[in-house]
Amino acid sequence: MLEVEKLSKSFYSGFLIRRRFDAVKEVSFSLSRGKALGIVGESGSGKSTIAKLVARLLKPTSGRIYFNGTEITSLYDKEFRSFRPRIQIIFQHPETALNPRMKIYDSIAEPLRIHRLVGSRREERARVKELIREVNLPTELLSRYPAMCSGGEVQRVVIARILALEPELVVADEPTSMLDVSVQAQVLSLMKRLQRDRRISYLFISHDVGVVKAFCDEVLVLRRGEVVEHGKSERVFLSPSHEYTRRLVRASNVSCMANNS
Amino acid sequence: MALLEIDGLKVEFFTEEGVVKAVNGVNLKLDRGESLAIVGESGSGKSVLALAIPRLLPVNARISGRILFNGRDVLRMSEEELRKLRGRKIALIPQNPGSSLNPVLTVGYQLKEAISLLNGSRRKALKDAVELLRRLRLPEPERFMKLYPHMLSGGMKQRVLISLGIAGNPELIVADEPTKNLDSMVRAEILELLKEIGRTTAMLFITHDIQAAKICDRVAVMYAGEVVETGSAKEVLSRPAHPYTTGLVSSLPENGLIPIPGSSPGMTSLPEGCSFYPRCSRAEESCSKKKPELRRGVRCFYA
Repeated sequence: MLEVEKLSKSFYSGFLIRRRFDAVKEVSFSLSRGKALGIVGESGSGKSTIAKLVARLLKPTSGRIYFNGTEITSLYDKEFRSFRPRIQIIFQHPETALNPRMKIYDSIAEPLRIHRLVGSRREERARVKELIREVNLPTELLSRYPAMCSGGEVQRVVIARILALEPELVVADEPTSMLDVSVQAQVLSLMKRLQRDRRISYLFISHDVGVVKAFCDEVLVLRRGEVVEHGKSERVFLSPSHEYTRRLVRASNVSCMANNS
Repeated sequence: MALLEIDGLKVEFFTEEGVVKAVNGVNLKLDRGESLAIVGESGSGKSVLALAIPRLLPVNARISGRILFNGRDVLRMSEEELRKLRGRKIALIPQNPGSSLNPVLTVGYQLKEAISLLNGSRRKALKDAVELLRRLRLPEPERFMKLYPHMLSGGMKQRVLISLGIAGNPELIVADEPTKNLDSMVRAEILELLKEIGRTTAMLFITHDIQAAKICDRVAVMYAGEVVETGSAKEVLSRPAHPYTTGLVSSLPENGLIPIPGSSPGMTSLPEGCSFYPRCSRAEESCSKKKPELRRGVRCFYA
Protein backbone atom coordinates (compact mmCIF):
# COMPACT_ATOMS: atom_id res chain seq x y z
CA MET A 1 0.00 0.00 0.00
CA LEU A 2 2.78 2.41 0.94
CA GLU A 3 6.06 2.17 -0.91
CA VAL A 4 8.92 4.54 -0.11
CA GLU A 5 11.96 4.63 -2.39
CA LYS A 6 15.29 6.29 -1.61
CA LEU A 7 13.68 9.14 0.24
CA SER A 8 16.03 12.00 1.16
CA LYS A 9 15.51 15.39 2.75
CA SER A 10 18.09 18.10 3.27
CA PHE A 11 17.59 21.36 5.08
CA TYR A 12 19.52 24.49 4.26
CA SER A 13 20.45 27.28 6.59
CA GLY A 14 22.64 30.37 6.54
CA PHE A 15 22.54 33.44 4.34
CA LEU A 16 25.90 34.02 2.67
CA ILE A 17 27.39 30.67 3.48
CA ARG A 18 24.81 28.02 2.79
CA ARG A 19 24.94 25.09 5.12
CA ARG A 20 23.35 21.78 4.35
CA PHE A 21 21.96 19.30 6.82
CA ASP A 22 20.88 15.88 5.58
CA ALA A 23 18.03 14.87 7.86
CA VAL A 24 16.99 11.79 5.92
CA LYS A 25 19.33 9.88 3.60
CA GLU A 26 17.97 7.46 0.99
CA VAL A 27 15.46 5.68 3.18
CA SER A 28 13.37 2.93 1.59
CA PHE A 29 10.61 0.80 3.08
CA SER A 30 7.17 -0.55 2.37
CA LEU A 31 4.05 -1.04 4.45
CA SER A 32 1.06 -3.23 3.62
CA ARG A 33 -2.60 -2.77 4.57
CA GLY A 34 -3.46 -3.36 8.21
CA LYS A 35 0.16 -3.55 9.37
CA ALA A 36 2.19 -1.36 11.69
CA LEU A 37 5.72 -0.29 10.86
CA GLY A 38 7.75 1.33 13.63
CA ILE A 39 10.56 3.83 13.20
CA VAL A 40 12.87 4.11 16.22
CA GLY A 41 15.90 6.25 16.88
CA GLU A 42 17.09 8.90 19.30
CA SER A 43 16.26 12.61 19.07
CA GLY A 44 17.60 14.10 15.86
CA SER A 45 17.73 10.82 13.94
CA GLY A 46 15.23 12.03 11.33
CA LYS A 47 12.16 10.08 12.49
CA SER A 48 9.78 13.01 12.53
CA THR A 49 11.04 14.26 9.16
CA ILE A 50 10.06 10.93 7.62
CA ALA A 51 6.62 11.24 9.23
CA LYS A 52 6.15 14.69 7.71
CA LEU A 53 7.40 13.57 4.30
CA VAL A 54 4.99 10.65 4.16
CA ALA A 55 2.08 12.86 5.28
CA ARG A 56 3.19 15.35 2.61
CA LEU A 57 3.72 18.15 5.07
CA LEU A 58 7.25 18.46 3.67
CA LYS A 59 8.55 18.03 0.13
CA PRO A 60 11.40 15.53 -0.22
CA THR A 61 14.74 16.60 -1.74
CA SER A 62 14.73 13.37 -3.72
CA GLY A 63 13.04 9.99 -3.72
CA ARG A 64 9.54 8.72 -4.31
CA ILE A 65 6.53 7.78 -2.22
CA TYR A 66 3.89 5.47 -3.74
CA PHE A 67 0.47 5.23 -2.14
CA ASN A 68 -1.61 2.39 -3.60
CA GLY A 69 0.52 2.58 -6.72
CA THR A 70 0.28 6.35 -7.26
CA GLU A 71 3.42 8.43 -6.87
CA ILE A 72 2.28 11.18 -4.50
CA THR A 73 5.34 13.44 -4.15
CA SER A 74 5.08 14.80 -7.70
CA LEU A 75 1.32 15.49 -7.53
CA TYR A 76 0.03 19.04 -7.46
CA ASP A 77 -1.73 20.04 -4.25
CA LYS A 78 -5.09 19.95 -6.02
CA GLU A 79 -4.46 16.44 -7.34
CA PHE A 80 -3.30 15.31 -3.90
CA ARG A 81 -6.49 16.53 -2.24
CA SER A 82 -8.31 13.25 -2.88
CA PHE A 83 -5.53 11.42 -1.02
CA ARG A 84 -5.58 13.72 2.03
CA PRO A 85 -8.42 11.95 3.89
CA ARG A 86 -6.77 8.59 3.31
CA ILE A 87 -3.41 9.59 4.85
CA GLN A 88 -3.72 11.14 8.29
CA ILE A 89 -1.28 12.13 11.01
CA ILE A 90 -1.29 12.12 14.84
CA PHE A 91 1.16 14.56 16.39
CA GLN A 92 3.23 14.25 19.52
CA HIS A 93 1.89 17.16 21.53
CA PRO A 94 -1.82 16.71 22.20
CA GLU A 95 -2.12 20.21 23.70
CA THR A 96 -1.27 21.91 20.40
CA ALA A 97 -3.06 19.50 18.08
CA LEU A 98 -6.52 21.04 18.41
CA ASN A 99 -7.70 24.59 17.91
CA PRO A 100 -7.99 25.92 21.50
CA ARG A 101 -10.95 28.14 20.59
CA MET A 102 -13.03 25.36 19.09
CA LYS A 103 -15.24 23.06 21.12
CA ILE A 104 -14.41 19.36 20.87
CA TYR A 105 -17.62 18.88 18.89
CA ASP A 106 -16.52 21.31 16.18
CA SER A 107 -13.01 19.90 16.05
CA ILE A 108 -14.43 16.48 15.22
CA ALA A 109 -17.09 17.86 12.84
CA GLU A 110 -14.63 20.05 10.91
CA PRO A 111 -13.13 17.34 8.68
CA LEU A 112 -16.64 16.03 7.97
CA ARG A 113 -17.66 19.50 6.79
CA ILE A 114 -14.51 20.18 4.77
CA HIS A 115 -14.68 16.91 2.88
CA ARG A 116 -18.51 17.10 2.58
CA LEU A 117 -19.03 13.71 4.19
CA VAL A 118 -22.37 14.54 5.81
CA GLY A 119 -25.50 15.95 4.21
CA SER A 120 -27.25 17.63 7.10
CA ARG A 121 -26.68 18.97 10.63
CA ARG A 122 -28.60 16.04 12.02
CA GLU A 123 -26.45 13.58 10.22
CA GLU A 124 -23.37 15.45 11.40
CA ARG A 125 -24.46 15.30 15.04
CA ALA A 126 -25.14 11.60 14.81
CA ARG A 127 -21.78 10.92 13.18
CA VAL A 128 -19.80 12.98 15.73
CA LYS A 129 -21.49 11.15 18.60
CA GLU A 130 -20.73 7.83 16.97
CA LEU A 131 -17.06 8.81 16.58
CA ILE A 132 -16.60 9.98 20.16
CA ARG A 133 -18.08 6.71 21.40
CA GLU A 134 -15.79 4.75 19.14
CA VAL A 135 -12.77 6.19 20.99
CA ASN A 136 -14.37 5.40 24.39
CA LEU A 137 -15.06 8.98 25.46
CA PRO A 138 -18.27 10.28 27.05
CA THR A 139 -20.47 12.54 24.87
CA GLU A 140 -20.36 15.25 27.59
CA LEU A 141 -16.85 16.02 26.39
CA LEU A 142 -18.22 17.40 23.11
CA SER A 143 -19.27 20.69 24.66
CA ARG A 144 -15.86 21.32 26.25
CA TYR A 145 -12.76 23.12 25.02
CA PRO A 146 -9.39 21.32 24.66
CA ALA A 147 -7.98 23.10 27.73
CA MET A 148 -10.65 21.43 29.84
CA CYS A 149 -9.55 17.93 28.79
CA SER A 150 -6.61 15.79 29.87
CA GLY A 151 -3.79 14.88 27.47
CA GLY A 152 -5.11 11.35 27.00
CA GLU A 153 -8.61 12.65 26.24
CA VAL A 154 -7.31 15.14 23.68
CA GLN A 155 -5.21 12.47 21.98
CA ARG A 156 -8.34 10.31 21.67
CA VAL A 157 -10.28 13.27 20.28
CA VAL A 158 -7.53 13.63 17.67
CA ILE A 159 -8.02 9.97 16.79
CA ALA A 160 -11.81 10.42 16.55
CA ARG A 161 -11.25 13.36 14.21
CA ILE A 162 -9.00 11.27 12.04
CA LEU A 163 -11.45 8.36 11.99
CA ALA A 164 -14.11 10.68 10.59
CA LEU A 165 -12.21 10.52 7.30
CA GLU A 166 -11.84 6.72 7.32
CA PRO A 167 -8.10 6.80 6.60
CA GLU A 168 -6.12 3.87 5.27
CA LEU A 169 -2.79 5.05 6.60
CA VAL A 170 -2.17 6.84 9.90
CA VAL A 171 1.22 8.39 10.54
CA ALA A 172 1.62 8.53 14.32
CA ASP A 173 4.52 10.74 15.42
CA GLU A 174 5.25 9.83 19.06
CA PRO A 175 1.52 9.71 19.85
CA THR A 176 1.96 8.65 23.48
CA SER A 177 5.31 10.05 24.57
CA MET A 178 3.65 12.86 26.54
CA LEU A 179 1.16 10.57 28.27
CA ASP A 180 1.22 8.64 31.53
CA VAL A 181 1.76 4.88 31.24
CA SER A 182 -1.81 3.90 32.08
CA VAL A 183 -3.16 6.47 29.61
CA GLN A 184 -0.60 5.36 27.03
CA ALA A 185 -1.98 1.84 27.37
CA GLN A 186 -5.52 3.16 26.79
CA VAL A 187 -4.56 5.07 23.63
CA LEU A 188 -2.43 2.27 22.19
CA SER A 189 -5.03 -0.42 22.79
CA LEU A 190 -7.57 1.82 21.05
CA MET A 191 -5.21 2.19 18.09
CA LYS A 192 -4.67 -1.58 18.01
CA ARG A 193 -8.44 -2.20 17.96
CA LEU A 194 -8.86 0.20 15.04
CA GLN A 195 -6.09 -1.57 13.19
CA ARG A 196 -8.01 -4.83 13.57
CA ASP A 197 -11.53 -3.51 12.90
CA ARG A 198 -10.80 -1.04 10.12
CA ARG A 199 -7.56 -2.46 8.72
CA ILE A 200 -5.74 0.83 9.30
CA SER A 201 -1.99 0.79 8.67
CA TYR A 202 0.32 2.70 10.96
CA LEU A 203 3.65 4.34 10.42
CA PHE A 204 4.57 4.56 14.07
CA ILE A 205 7.36 6.92 15.12
CA SER A 206 8.79 6.49 18.60
CA HIS A 207 11.98 6.58 20.64
CA ASP A 208 10.54 4.01 23.01
CA VAL A 209 11.76 0.53 22.12
CA GLY A 210 9.26 -1.12 24.49
CA VAL A 211 6.27 0.55 22.87
CA VAL A 212 7.43 -0.24 19.33
CA LYS A 213 8.10 -3.85 20.28
CA ALA A 214 4.56 -4.20 21.62
CA PHE A 215 2.83 -2.28 18.85
CA CYS A 216 4.63 -2.88 15.54
CA ASP A 217 5.03 -5.89 13.27
CA GLU A 218 8.12 -4.50 11.61
CA VAL A 219 10.67 -1.93 12.63
CA LEU A 220 13.17 0.41 11.05
CA VAL A 221 16.08 1.61 13.17
CA LEU A 222 17.20 5.06 12.17
CA ARG A 223 20.46 6.79 13.01
CA ARG A 224 21.47 10.19 11.67
CA GLY A 225 19.00 9.89 8.81
CA GLU A 226 20.08 6.43 7.73
CA VAL A 227 18.46 3.05 8.22
CA VAL A 228 20.86 0.88 10.21
CA GLU A 229 18.55 -2.09 10.72
CA HIS A 230 15.23 -3.27 9.32
CA GLY A 231 13.19 -6.35 10.08
CA LYS A 232 10.46 -8.03 12.10
CA SER A 233 10.34 -6.18 15.40
CA GLU A 234 10.71 -9.32 17.50
CA ARG A 235 13.83 -10.36 15.64
CA VAL A 236 15.37 -6.87 15.67
CA PHE A 237 14.91 -6.33 19.39
CA LEU A 238 15.67 -9.86 20.55
CA SER A 239 18.82 -10.28 18.49
CA PRO A 240 19.88 -6.90 17.13
CA SER A 241 22.62 -7.13 14.54
CA HIS A 242 23.72 -3.49 14.56
CA GLU A 243 25.67 -1.99 17.46
CA TYR A 244 23.38 1.07 17.54
CA THR A 245 20.25 -1.09 17.93
CA ARG A 246 21.96 -2.96 20.73
CA ARG A 247 22.60 0.34 22.50
CA LEU A 248 18.97 1.40 22.07
CA VAL A 249 17.71 -1.87 23.48
CA ARG A 250 20.12 -1.69 26.40
CA ALA A 251 19.04 1.88 27.19
CA SER A 252 15.39 0.88 27.30
CA ASN A 253 16.21 -1.88 29.73
CA VAL A 254 16.44 0.02 32.99
CA SER A 255 15.75 -3.22 34.77
CA CYS A 256 19.06 -4.70 33.66
CA MET A 257 20.80 -1.57 34.84
CA ALA A 258 19.27 -1.83 38.30
CA ASN A 259 20.17 -5.48 38.63
CA ASN A 260 23.81 -4.98 37.73
CA SER A 261 24.69 -3.52 41.09
CA MET B 1 16.31 10.18 64.11
CA ALA B 2 15.35 10.02 60.45
CA LEU B 3 16.73 12.68 58.10
CA LEU B 4 13.29 13.50 56.77
CA GLU B 5 10.00 12.66 58.38
CA ILE B 6 6.75 13.79 56.82
CA ASP B 7 3.77 13.44 59.06
CA GLY B 8 0.14 13.88 58.01
CA LEU B 9 1.01 16.34 55.24
CA LYS B 10 -1.92 18.01 53.51
CA VAL B 11 -1.69 20.62 50.78
CA GLU B 12 -4.76 22.43 49.50
CA PHE B 13 -5.07 25.15 46.89
CA PHE B 14 -7.89 27.65 46.82
CA THR B 15 -9.01 28.24 43.24
CA GLU B 16 -12.09 29.51 41.45
CA GLU B 17 -13.29 25.95 40.88
CA GLY B 18 -13.07 25.15 44.57
CA VAL B 19 -10.56 23.63 46.94
CA VAL B 20 -8.00 21.45 45.16
CA LYS B 21 -6.76 18.73 47.50
CA ALA B 22 -3.36 18.00 45.99
CA VAL B 23 -1.78 16.13 48.90
CA ASN B 24 -4.09 14.29 51.27
CA GLY B 25 -2.36 13.11 54.40
CA VAL B 26 1.02 11.73 53.39
CA ASN B 27 3.40 10.09 55.86
CA LEU B 28 6.93 9.35 54.73
CA LYS B 29 10.29 8.65 56.31
CA LEU B 30 13.73 8.86 54.76
CA ASP B 31 17.00 7.95 56.46
CA ARG B 32 20.46 9.28 55.65
CA GLY B 33 21.92 7.68 52.53
CA GLU B 34 18.58 6.22 51.56
CA SER B 35 16.75 6.84 48.29
CA LEU B 36 13.00 6.85 47.87
CA ALA B 37 11.08 7.03 44.60
CA ILE B 38 7.67 8.70 44.61
CA VAL B 39 5.79 7.23 41.66
CA GLY B 40 2.55 8.69 40.41
CA GLU B 41 0.76 9.87 37.29
CA SER B 42 -0.21 13.41 36.33
CA GLY B 43 -2.31 14.93 39.04
CA SER B 44 -1.35 12.47 41.76
CA GLY B 45 0.18 15.25 43.84
CA LYS B 46 3.77 14.05 43.62
CA SER B 47 5.30 17.32 42.42
CA VAL B 48 3.35 19.34 44.98
CA LEU B 49 4.76 17.04 47.64
CA ALA B 50 8.26 17.62 46.26
CA LEU B 51 7.91 21.40 46.31
CA ALA B 52 6.41 21.40 49.80
CA ILE B 53 9.59 19.99 51.35
CA PRO B 54 11.83 23.04 50.72
CA ARG B 55 8.68 25.22 51.08
CA LEU B 56 8.59 26.39 47.49
CA LEU B 57 4.82 26.27 46.97
CA PRO B 58 2.91 29.37 45.85
CA VAL B 59 1.20 31.53 48.47
CA ASN B 60 -2.31 30.23 47.75
CA ALA B 61 -1.30 26.79 49.04
CA ARG B 62 -2.47 25.86 52.52
CA ILE B 63 -0.12 23.35 54.08
CA SER B 64 -0.80 21.40 57.24
CA GLY B 65 0.97 18.54 59.00
CA ARG B 66 4.68 18.34 59.76
CA ILE B 67 7.82 18.12 57.65
CA LEU B 68 10.64 17.28 60.04
CA PHE B 69 14.12 17.72 58.61
CA ASN B 70 16.80 16.65 61.10
CA GLY B 71 14.07 16.84 63.70
CA ARG B 72 13.08 20.44 62.94
CA ASP B 73 9.77 21.36 61.36
CA VAL B 74 10.32 23.08 58.00
CA LEU B 75 6.77 24.44 58.13
CA ARG B 76 7.61 26.46 61.26
CA MET B 77 10.88 27.94 60.05
CA SER B 78 11.40 31.65 59.36
CA GLU B 79 12.43 32.92 55.91
CA GLU B 80 15.95 33.42 57.25
CA GLU B 81 16.19 29.80 58.40
CA LEU B 82 14.73 28.56 55.13
CA ARG B 83 17.35 30.46 53.18
CA LYS B 84 20.06 28.57 55.04
CA LEU B 85 18.25 25.31 54.34
CA ARG B 86 17.57 25.60 50.61
CA GLY B 87 20.45 24.57 48.38
CA ARG B 88 22.74 23.80 51.33
CA LYS B 89 20.77 21.16 53.19
CA ILE B 90 17.88 20.42 50.83
CA ALA B 91 18.38 20.85 47.09
CA LEU B 92 15.66 20.72 44.49
CA ILE B 93 16.36 19.58 40.95
CA PRO B 94 13.40 21.13 39.12
CA GLN B 95 11.46 19.63 36.23
CA ASN B 96 11.40 20.99 32.66
CA PRO B 97 15.10 21.63 31.96
CA GLY B 98 13.95 23.75 29.02
CA SER B 99 12.54 26.48 31.21
CA SER B 100 14.46 26.08 34.47
CA LEU B 101 17.69 27.75 33.30
CA ASN B 102 18.08 31.45 32.58
CA PRO B 103 18.19 31.73 28.76
CA VAL B 104 20.33 34.91 28.64
CA LEU B 105 23.14 33.75 30.94
CA THR B 106 25.83 31.21 30.15
CA VAL B 107 25.85 27.87 31.89
CA GLY B 108 29.13 28.81 33.55
CA TYR B 109 27.73 32.05 34.94
CA GLN B 110 24.73 30.26 36.42
CA LEU B 111 26.88 27.53 37.94
CA LYS B 112 29.45 29.94 39.40
CA GLU B 113 26.69 32.14 40.78
CA ALA B 114 25.15 29.22 42.62
CA ILE B 115 28.48 27.93 43.89
CA SER B 116 29.74 31.30 45.14
CA LEU B 117 26.45 31.92 46.92
CA LEU B 118 26.78 28.56 48.62
CA ASN B 119 30.39 28.70 49.76
CA GLY B 120 31.08 32.41 49.62
CA SER B 121 34.23 32.34 47.53
CA ARG B 122 34.13 33.60 43.96
CA ARG B 123 37.64 32.53 43.06
CA LYS B 124 37.10 28.95 44.07
CA ALA B 125 33.77 28.87 42.23
CA LEU B 126 35.32 28.45 38.78
CA LYS B 127 37.39 25.48 39.85
CA ASP B 128 34.42 23.88 41.59
CA ALA B 129 32.15 24.42 38.58
CA VAL B 130 34.60 22.69 36.24
CA GLU B 131 34.96 19.88 38.73
CA LEU B 132 31.18 19.46 38.95
CA LEU B 133 30.71 19.34 35.19
CA ARG B 134 33.45 16.77 34.94
CA ARG B 135 31.73 14.69 37.60
CA LEU B 136 28.58 14.73 35.47
CA ARG B 137 30.63 13.48 32.50
CA LEU B 138 30.13 16.57 30.36
CA PRO B 139 32.83 16.84 27.69
CA GLU B 140 35.31 19.77 27.78
CA PRO B 141 33.89 21.55 30.85
CA GLU B 142 35.84 24.79 30.25
CA ARG B 143 34.37 25.24 26.79
CA PHE B 144 30.97 24.01 27.95
CA MET B 145 30.74 26.80 30.55
CA LYS B 146 30.68 29.42 27.80
CA LEU B 147 27.54 27.99 26.19
CA TYR B 148 24.00 29.31 26.57
CA PRO B 149 21.11 26.99 27.49
CA HIS B 150 19.57 27.07 24.00
CA MET B 151 22.77 25.55 22.60
CA LEU B 152 22.36 22.44 24.74
CA SER B 153 20.32 19.30 24.24
CA GLY B 154 17.65 18.31 26.77
CA GLY B 155 19.94 15.76 28.40
CA MET B 156 22.76 18.31 28.80
CA LYS B 157 20.43 20.88 30.35
CA GLN B 158 19.22 18.22 32.76
CA ARG B 159 22.83 17.55 33.75
CA VAL B 160 23.42 21.24 34.37
CA LEU B 161 20.38 21.29 36.66
CA ILE B 162 21.66 18.23 38.49
CA SER B 163 25.05 19.88 38.93
CA LEU B 164 23.33 22.99 40.34
CA GLY B 165 21.48 20.69 42.72
CA ILE B 166 24.55 18.90 44.06
CA ALA B 167 26.72 22.06 44.09
CA GLY B 168 26.03 22.80 47.76
CA ASN B 169 26.68 19.24 48.96
CA PRO B 170 23.14 18.95 50.32
CA GLU B 171 22.01 16.30 52.78
CA LEU B 172 18.84 15.71 50.80
CA ILE B 173 18.20 15.95 47.06
CA VAL B 174 14.65 16.25 45.80
CA ALA B 175 14.64 15.46 42.08
CA ASP B 176 11.36 16.35 40.40
CA GLU B 177 10.84 14.29 37.23
CA PRO B 178 14.42 14.57 35.99
CA THR B 179 13.84 12.10 33.15
CA LYS B 180 10.69 13.67 31.72
CA ASN B 181 10.76 14.37 27.95
CA LEU B 182 14.14 12.74 27.44
CA ASP B 183 14.64 10.03 24.85
CA SER B 184 15.44 6.53 26.05
CA MET B 185 19.22 6.69 25.69
CA VAL B 186 19.61 9.98 27.51
CA ARG B 187 17.14 8.80 30.12
CA ALA B 188 19.31 5.76 30.82
CA GLU B 189 22.39 7.98 31.26
CA ILE B 190 20.62 10.38 33.62
CA LEU B 191 19.25 7.49 35.67
CA GLU B 192 22.72 6.00 35.96
CA LEU B 193 23.98 9.36 37.21
CA LEU B 194 21.19 9.81 39.75
CA LYS B 195 21.70 6.32 41.01
CA GLU B 196 25.34 7.12 41.63
CA ILE B 197 24.44 10.32 43.48
CA GLY B 198 21.78 8.46 45.47
CA ARG B 199 24.42 6.12 46.82
CA THR B 200 26.05 8.88 48.86
CA THR B 201 23.26 11.41 49.39
CA ALA B 202 19.70 10.87 50.52
CA MET B 203 17.38 11.31 47.56
CA LEU B 204 13.68 11.74 46.96
CA PHE B 205 13.13 10.86 43.33
CA ILE B 206 9.80 12.03 41.93
CA THR B 207 8.79 10.23 38.75
CA HIS B 208 5.88 9.15 36.59
CA ASP B 209 8.03 6.34 35.24
CA ILE B 210 7.51 3.25 37.36
CA GLN B 211 10.48 1.47 35.78
CA ALA B 212 12.84 4.29 36.63
CA ALA B 213 11.89 3.82 40.29
CA LYS B 214 14.17 0.79 40.29
CA ILE B 215 17.18 3.01 40.87
CA CYS B 216 15.93 3.69 44.42
CA ASP B 217 15.94 1.58 47.57
CA ARG B 218 12.29 2.17 48.34
CA VAL B 219 9.16 3.18 46.43
CA ALA B 220 5.97 5.00 47.43
CA VAL B 221 3.15 4.93 44.87
CA MET B 222 0.83 7.93 44.95
CA TYR B 223 -2.74 8.15 43.70
CA ALA B 224 -5.05 11.15 44.13
CA GLY B 225 -2.83 12.78 46.75
CA GLU B 226 -2.33 9.68 48.88
CA VAL B 227 0.32 7.03 49.21
CA VAL B 228 -1.44 3.80 48.19
CA GLU B 229 1.52 1.45 48.40
CA THR B 230 5.02 1.57 49.79
CA GLY B 231 7.86 -0.86 50.26
CA SER B 232 11.23 -1.90 48.88
CA ALA B 233 11.57 -1.06 45.19
CA LYS B 234 12.19 -4.69 44.22
CA GLU B 235 9.22 -5.96 46.18
CA VAL B 236 6.68 -3.37 44.99
CA LEU B 237 7.65 -3.54 41.31
CA SER B 238 7.85 -7.30 41.05
CA ARG B 239 4.91 -8.15 43.35
CA PRO B 240 2.61 -5.12 43.44
CA ALA B 241 -0.19 -5.55 45.99
CA HIS B 242 -2.46 -2.53 45.52
CA PRO B 243 -4.86 -2.79 42.54
CA TYR B 244 -3.60 0.58 41.24
CA THR B 245 0.06 -0.46 41.31
CA THR B 246 -0.89 -3.76 39.67
CA GLY B 247 -2.69 -1.79 36.97
CA LEU B 248 0.29 0.51 36.43
CA VAL B 249 2.65 -2.43 36.04
CA SER B 250 0.39 -4.23 33.57
CA SER B 251 -0.05 -1.11 31.45
CA LEU B 252 3.68 -1.20 30.62
CA PRO B 253 4.40 -2.22 27.01
CA GLU B 254 6.34 -5.35 28.00
CA ASN B 255 3.42 -6.53 30.14
CA GLY B 256 0.88 -6.27 27.36
CA LEU B 257 -0.32 -2.64 27.54
CA ILE B 258 -3.42 -3.54 29.56
CA PRO B 259 -5.03 -0.22 30.49
CA ILE B 260 -6.67 0.72 33.80
CA PRO B 261 -10.30 1.58 33.03
CA GLY B 262 -11.52 5.14 33.67
CA SER B 263 -9.37 8.12 34.55
CA SER B 264 -7.89 9.76 37.65
CA PRO B 265 -10.42 11.65 39.77
CA GLY B 266 -10.39 15.44 39.73
CA MET B 267 -8.82 16.82 42.87
CA THR B 268 -11.78 19.07 43.54
CA SER B 269 -14.16 16.13 43.71
CA LEU B 270 -12.50 13.12 45.26
CA PRO B 271 -14.75 10.10 45.74
CA GLU B 272 -15.74 9.14 49.26
CA GLY B 273 -14.21 6.00 50.68
CA CYS B 274 -11.25 4.57 48.76
CA SER B 275 -10.17 7.06 46.08
CA PHE B 276 -9.45 4.25 43.61
CA TYR B 277 -12.67 2.26 44.01
CA PRO B 278 -14.51 3.65 40.90
CA ARG B 279 -11.75 2.18 38.68
CA CYS B 280 -10.99 -0.91 40.72
CA SER B 281 -11.87 -4.42 39.58
CA ARG B 282 -11.67 -5.80 43.11
CA ALA B 283 -13.91 -3.16 44.67
CA GLU B 284 -16.75 -4.21 46.96
CA GLU B 285 -19.65 -2.14 48.19
CA SER B 286 -17.84 -1.22 51.42
CA CYS B 287 -14.98 0.41 49.47
CA SER B 288 -17.24 3.29 48.48
CA LYS B 289 -18.07 4.08 52.12
CA LYS B 290 -14.95 3.63 54.19
CA LYS B 291 -11.44 4.81 53.40
CA PRO B 292 -8.85 2.05 53.85
CA GLU B 293 -5.78 2.82 55.99
CA LEU B 294 -2.22 2.13 54.93
CA ARG B 295 -1.66 -1.33 56.45
CA ARG B 296 1.61 -3.22 55.96
CA GLY B 297 2.42 -0.78 53.16
CA VAL B 298 -0.84 -1.16 51.22
CA ARG B 299 -3.93 1.04 51.30
CA CYS B 300 -6.54 -1.58 50.37
CA PHE B 301 -9.03 -3.77 52.26
CA TYR B 302 -8.47 -6.78 50.05
CA ALA B 303 -4.76 -6.80 49.27
